[in-house]
Amino acid sequence: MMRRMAGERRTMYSRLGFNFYDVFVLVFCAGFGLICFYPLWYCLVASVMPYEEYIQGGLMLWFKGFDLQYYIQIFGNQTYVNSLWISATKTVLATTLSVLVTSTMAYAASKSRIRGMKVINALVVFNLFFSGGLIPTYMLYQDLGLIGSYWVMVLPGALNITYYIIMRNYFSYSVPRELEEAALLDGCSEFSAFFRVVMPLSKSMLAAVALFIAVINWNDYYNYMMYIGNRTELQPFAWILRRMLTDKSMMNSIRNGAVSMGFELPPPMGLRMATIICAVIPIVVVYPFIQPYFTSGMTLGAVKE
Amino acid sequence: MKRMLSLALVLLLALSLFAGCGGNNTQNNTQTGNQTTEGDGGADAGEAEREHVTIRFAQFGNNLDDAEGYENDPIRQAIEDAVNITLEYDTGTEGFDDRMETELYTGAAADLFPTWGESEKIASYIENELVVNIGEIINADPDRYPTLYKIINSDEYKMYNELYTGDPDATYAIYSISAFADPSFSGVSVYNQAILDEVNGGAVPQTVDEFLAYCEAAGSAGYVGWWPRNDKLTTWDEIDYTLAVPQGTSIQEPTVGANMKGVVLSGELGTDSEYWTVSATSEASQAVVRQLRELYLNGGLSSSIGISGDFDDAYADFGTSRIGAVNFGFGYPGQFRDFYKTAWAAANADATIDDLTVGYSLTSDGSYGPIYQTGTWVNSHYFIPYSCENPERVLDLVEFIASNEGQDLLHNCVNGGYNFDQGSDYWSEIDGAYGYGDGRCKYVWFSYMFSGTEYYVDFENQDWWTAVTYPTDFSNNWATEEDAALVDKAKETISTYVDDVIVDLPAYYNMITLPAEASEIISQLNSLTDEYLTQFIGGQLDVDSDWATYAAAYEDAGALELEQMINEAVATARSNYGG
Repeated sequence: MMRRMAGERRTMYSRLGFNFYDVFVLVFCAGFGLICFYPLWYCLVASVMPYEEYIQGGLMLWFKGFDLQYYIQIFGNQTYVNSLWISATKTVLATTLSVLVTSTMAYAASKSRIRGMKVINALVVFNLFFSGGLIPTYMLYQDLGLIGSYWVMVLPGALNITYYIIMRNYFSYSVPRELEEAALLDGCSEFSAFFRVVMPLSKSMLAAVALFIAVINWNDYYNYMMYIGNRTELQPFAWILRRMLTDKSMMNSIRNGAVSMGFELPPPMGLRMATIICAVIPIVVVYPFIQPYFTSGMTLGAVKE
Repeated sequence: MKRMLSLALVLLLALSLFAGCGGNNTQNNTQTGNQTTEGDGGADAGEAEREHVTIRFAQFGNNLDDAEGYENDPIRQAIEDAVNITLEYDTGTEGFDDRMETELYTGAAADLFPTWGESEKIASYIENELVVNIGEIINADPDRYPTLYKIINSDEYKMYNELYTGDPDATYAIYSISAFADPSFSGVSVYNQAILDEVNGGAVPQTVDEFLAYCEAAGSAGYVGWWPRNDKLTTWDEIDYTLAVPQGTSIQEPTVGANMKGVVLSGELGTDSEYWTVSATSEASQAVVRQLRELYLNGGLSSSIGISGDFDDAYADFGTSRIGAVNFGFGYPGQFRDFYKTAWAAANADATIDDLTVGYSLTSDGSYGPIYQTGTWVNSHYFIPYSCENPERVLDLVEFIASNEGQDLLHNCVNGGYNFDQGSDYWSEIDGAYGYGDGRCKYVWFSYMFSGTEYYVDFENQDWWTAVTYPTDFSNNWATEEDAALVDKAKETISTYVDDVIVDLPAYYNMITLPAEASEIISQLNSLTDEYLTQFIGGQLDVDSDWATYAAAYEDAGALELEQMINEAVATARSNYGG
């Protein structure tokens, strides 16, 4: 009986080229993908749709008219432009610094043969689970002169412990020790061996980690909110986006600015949608460039060989 | 090895709990970059003679995005000149309170900052000596702080001191009290004049009987007689104050404190003879619910209340002349203005003010239903942190803001009158980064400091409680002609009966606290009210035969115990704070 059913299944698959399981997986994935994609698509369509069309409501599957006024209003506002610059620079700086610091430390920590390295490892990992809390952190930043400074959005994330663990595992188990030893025999110092041999071998892992860290930094507004708070020239774009959604005074300020540019008072919804798209685009643009490394990098360090 | 490691981790965890502790009060004196600079602060010195200082003032919910506007802010400059200071503003929305508190605990707080009036939080500030006892400074130099001296030494102010500190003379905060310039209350209908003309000869109902007759007549004529705001039959204020309270009862569950609802007073208010009775299940309430049921049956009361939304469906139905009378808090004149514009004029291109008529609080047997309220509620409190280097100068700033000159600057008026002399250009000028974006002529900073509703308060000519309870609203002076006319129209009618309807409760009613178990009982009574009244009105339960079940359920839920708790709490507040 079982053999007969198996035979029928093979027949169906060989005849149609797929079976019900394939259909289910395809439909499920397509549906799930649509659920993820549609809100973003909705934001995009609403951000360029004339308001008269937008208030008609309903599903927004395609553009009904095309009007870039919200984007013009956004980029005509100095606060927006400045915040984009702040976000871009802090993301680049913080990501570069974080990848550099975390990878060098993880590489060193992967050398478990060095005395004391296990203790250092334990101390670092300890911080993954326990932190000093807000007030001690604030006092530390205050003593370091970081409060109210641009650098409070860059420096504290230099060592990312989550990715430190992933990197350390990768350096321990995935980079052939023989290659490092060969480099050292050829006269490389430890630094040269790391930068000339280990780093190039770890490109995919570093690209994946860098993307994740970049997204964290791009979306971060907490450091500004808690440790700067009052210097509007240092507002990151994520904070502007947050304020556009929750802070009426910010929305009024942007709308009044649009009027002074000669526009009619814009509806808040259109401005919000355009802001969301502006927040998403940089990461979406970067993603394809990292994609080739990203796919393989995702699984690195996961398996101990 | 693993045990040792575990033990070490546990010890580290335990030690980490004490991270940040071990400081003492001296840390509060640590200087930070944003503290005030030293000033001489001599008692007899004028502001100009006192040393120039920088003061950082924090306020929730403003913004500093317009740097140019902020730099050229004429009102900030006027305040700076008057007090001889440099003002730095600090603000935020999300995370603002957390940041303020973190800064306070780390000695980096703004020189004057607000927080909401939570007793425990304020008590912890005081216990940890994080904030300055401003009372000591003010009382030591009454000539320098005449307005503040008057404020903090009033009986009502001391009442709040006692609430937060246990000591009526320990003043640690500027208490911001909210109150509307005109009383705000429920139980007033607005009528569609055309329907009123058609079914009632244009006569505006003045008694409960006339109102019921009008609603039934409108229902018979094919209209919906009455839509009281009800939030899907969970909010009973409008129904209660329109029909029940004038008939000497209340159909709601009890609410006590600044508003006394769901209870009926006997005896004399403010004396040992006063007694509040829970009346939701009384015979008088049964009669009111019977009236509601009958109204519901014959179209006098909208059959879609409890189903349709108040602000969409009811507004739309009223705008298209399907409803004869509506209630949406029209005991406040500004509410009538907003309703006219949103619900009526938005749907009727040729709308005029005379299309709608503001109604009366109804009478029964010649009497109005009394509405008991203090008319006030507590807003944010403003503190000077212990880390502030020069609290005397900060209090100079507060003194100026409390003065009529300071209030004039914030509210565009001079000595209680609108300053026409400055011309319209002046007013449009403040409508920028440092004003409101919606046309209001108020200065955004300091506007909440004494009046949580952002109105002018006259401390020079009134005592603190009177000033904050009856603030002055100058908005009609700068409103559009239509807006001003709408508010005036509502005021004109309301003023004919407001003094007969509103009964001011003594300030100590704001201090009433019920035992913890009372909230559970009130919650249960609230559920019973919603459940039973809805079914009585809708006909799923019979008002006559099922009323006893309702009364028994109320009693089982603890209505009588609650009544006792309420009266004990009122007596305690009167004894502690009643003076």
